[in-house]
Amino acid sequence: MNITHNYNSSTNTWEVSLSGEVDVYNAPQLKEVLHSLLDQHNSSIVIDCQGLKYIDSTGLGVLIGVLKRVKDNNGNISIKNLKPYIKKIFTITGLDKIFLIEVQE
Amino acid sequence: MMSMDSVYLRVPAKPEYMLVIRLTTSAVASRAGFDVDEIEDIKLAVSEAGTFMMNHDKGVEWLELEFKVDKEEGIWIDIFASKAAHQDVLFSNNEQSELSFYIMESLMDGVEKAIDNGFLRGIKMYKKFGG
Repeated sequence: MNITHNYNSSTNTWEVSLSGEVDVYNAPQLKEVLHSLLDQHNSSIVIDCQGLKYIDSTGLGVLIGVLKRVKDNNGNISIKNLKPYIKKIFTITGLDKIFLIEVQE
Repeated sequence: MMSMDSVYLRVPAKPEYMLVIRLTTSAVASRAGFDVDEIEDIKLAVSEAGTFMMNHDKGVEWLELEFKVDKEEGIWIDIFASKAAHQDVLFSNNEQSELSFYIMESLMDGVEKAIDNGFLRGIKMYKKFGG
């Protein structure tokens, strides 16, 4: 798993790039990074998943926890460039209705 | 049912070995003849089961997986832990595991807990071709 991030001050949004595989091994690291970003600016987050190859329920659990914190501050999380087979996981769990999802063409 | 090919895998019950479970699952499912999307489904379902069994009780030392492949029908996979906990006191009785089980059941044709006298020993699942 690799995470890069940048704060866009013109849109007051964190731009995060998430790649590789997210599972029970590295989900704690994802949680720590995202919460540390919110400690700096509790704003909306755009997560680019162009390079994301795999995510399991522990990774989804992290995203749900972060979303709760972002929504408490009237923000949102957008997830873009999901591969279709990963988008499927968001769909079957109903998470496509609580995150703003954009599928990779 | 024709004779089945069996593949066994035992890994330490540590998060860093979930990747080994995924890679093995992908390889076996591919050999069985599933397509790319089905392989992704099986890989995620097995990984979810592995994570669940790893966390279902303190002191789980290893996970053991058995893959049974029938090239006419599909794949059967058992995921067992070195230690069984009573199903009423599982550490993994939480929202996370509910999500995990929902994913498994959505992706596979059948998923069931292997319970022996109230103790959870493992998770059994299968997927048939074209299922």
